[in-house]
Amino acid sequence: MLASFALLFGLIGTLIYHIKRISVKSKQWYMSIWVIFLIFIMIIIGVPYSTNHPTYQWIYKNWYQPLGTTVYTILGFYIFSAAYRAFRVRSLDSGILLISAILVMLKNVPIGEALWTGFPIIGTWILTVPQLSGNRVIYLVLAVGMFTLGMRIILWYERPLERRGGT
Amino acid sequence: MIDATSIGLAIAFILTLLCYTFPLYKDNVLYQFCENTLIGLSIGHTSVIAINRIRDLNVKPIMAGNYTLLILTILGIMLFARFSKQYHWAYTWPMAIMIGGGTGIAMRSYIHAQFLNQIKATMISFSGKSVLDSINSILILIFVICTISFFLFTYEQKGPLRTTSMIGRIVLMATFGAVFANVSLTRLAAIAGRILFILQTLGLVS
Amino acid sequence: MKDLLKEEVGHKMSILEKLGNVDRRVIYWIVVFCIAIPYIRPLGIPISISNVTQTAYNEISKLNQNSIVWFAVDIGVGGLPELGGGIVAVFDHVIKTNAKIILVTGALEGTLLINDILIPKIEKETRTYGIDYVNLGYFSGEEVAKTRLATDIRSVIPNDIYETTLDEIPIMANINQATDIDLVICFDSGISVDGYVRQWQSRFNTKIIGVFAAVIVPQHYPFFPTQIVGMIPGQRGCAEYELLIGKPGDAIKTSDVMSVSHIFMIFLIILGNIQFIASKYIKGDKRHD
Repeated sequence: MLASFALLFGLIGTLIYHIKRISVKSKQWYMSIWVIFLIFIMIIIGVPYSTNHPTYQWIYKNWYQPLGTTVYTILGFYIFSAAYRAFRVRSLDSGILLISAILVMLKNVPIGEALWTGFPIIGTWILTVPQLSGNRVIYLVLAVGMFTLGMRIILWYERPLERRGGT
Repeated sequence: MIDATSIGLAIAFILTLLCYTFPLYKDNVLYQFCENTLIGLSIGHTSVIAINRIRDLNVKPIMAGNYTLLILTILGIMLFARFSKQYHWAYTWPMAIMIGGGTGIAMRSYIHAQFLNQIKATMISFSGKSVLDSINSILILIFVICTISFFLFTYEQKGPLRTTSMIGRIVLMATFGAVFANVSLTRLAAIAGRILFILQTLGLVS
Repeated sequence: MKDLLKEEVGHKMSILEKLGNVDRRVIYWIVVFCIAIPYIRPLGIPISISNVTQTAYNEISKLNQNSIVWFAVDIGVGGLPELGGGIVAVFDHVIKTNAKIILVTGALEGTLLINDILIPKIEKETRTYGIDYVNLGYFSGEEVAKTRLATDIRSVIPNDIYETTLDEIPIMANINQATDIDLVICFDSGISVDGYVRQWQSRFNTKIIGVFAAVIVPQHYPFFPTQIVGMIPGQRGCAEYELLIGKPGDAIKTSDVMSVSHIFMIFLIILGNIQFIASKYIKGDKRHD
């Protein structure tokens, strides 16, 4: 229930931010008007008539879903330019990372097995032995870290809610 | 026939193409329009869900006589004190409850599920296993121990610790390589899904 | 073309320099063609079934008309292109087993995905709402909510999506905690399944099958098979599942696309490294001259 109030907290914060942008006429302030308009359209339809209302479903399916999925995919393009420009073998460590990545990539796609039947075997081995070990240790370390942080919060060594500078 | 469905499909198609002008051409006002539309719609949708939940799980039961929920409502309203300089302190109480509750649950569950169960899973059992599986199990145990030694930052990495730490580093590099491979698979699948939509709308793919 | 290769006036660029300065938009357009062409002209590369997907299939095949399945669609719109085919395939398989289905989501966008994809499917199979399946909608609170759900479902979700109390719904008559659920199938692209593992499996030994976006598959391998009994990893796993149930769909269509685009990515990595090493070698030679 508190999580639902926290979501509304985000709404209020966003509205304050965009209203400030409109009032000082900052760059592209007209976009803020559009954002506020959309927020209220969704609330006006979704709250009294529920999210099952045909108009709400139409907006969700034809506006929100395509935009959400497409904007999410733009990051995928950067992986290609990163693969070309940033993925450099400068040391043994980066070489192992590169080889492991390529072998697992070839395991993940059907063409790997079509090229050589060994690729899925090696790729699966990398996933189920070294990768599993590495992730297992990360989980162990994370668990110890979470427990330590919890104890520090309980014993008041960590005070996440205190304002910096007193008061 | 022009109806709501075909208009909606056309809008979805146009919005998808407008979004792709950014990576395939350059940053432009059409892409920014799409970005801001997404921000507005996602905040709107989130708010609708939140308001509906508060109305159905809080307001309605209180009006039906369940007054214990008033405590939750007051705590929830106190969250908004964050916006006031004078009453800022009131925001810390519900936050403290959320942090405390989350910490308590995490402490118990992380130790059991991610610490003890992971150690149990690393322990070798040879019964019913093939030779290859047994070798892999031994390798997993060795790799886990070596990788843990890599995280011992309070000891000087020399002697045997240096060797095990180096093996641990290699294991971590293999882990990150596998993670990169899977991240690229997810991102590519997402791009493929949108391009499939474009091709299906154009009638090039069934 | 010259502009794209950023040729400087008065200085002829070597091939290596040109390779190092290729505009990223050229790469992106090639990616688009690498994805579009296999959709229009499929290659038909065969797909083998992995052990993890086969295990998930076997677990779901064990279900019967007395089984209760907690079907958690905890993905947003971002996860739909990758896991959409898998959601349909797994749901088809669960319907075929005649198990009772509890549809639920911990993701804000999940309710609309359920209403859009799953409800029309199950209605076509003439299953009765309230007896064969129920839609509990969205619950907020992540792991905290899952902790409460494990011992008292009604304390977190008192009504279904149509605001009927759970006590009035026949399928939920004897179901109020994790021990009443035979199998949890969780579609996840984040950390949702971790909550089920920590709060349901580790405390009550509830069986869990995870259908994961590829990005979170590596971090869940340590849980398989002791804490997660089956895994369907990413788009490849969804394609394998479509093959297993004999209903090819979007995931299989995408397999050829994944092959071609991954080969292109590996080509880019190798080309980039050749360019890098060759440039270093040439610079090193010039320093000796």
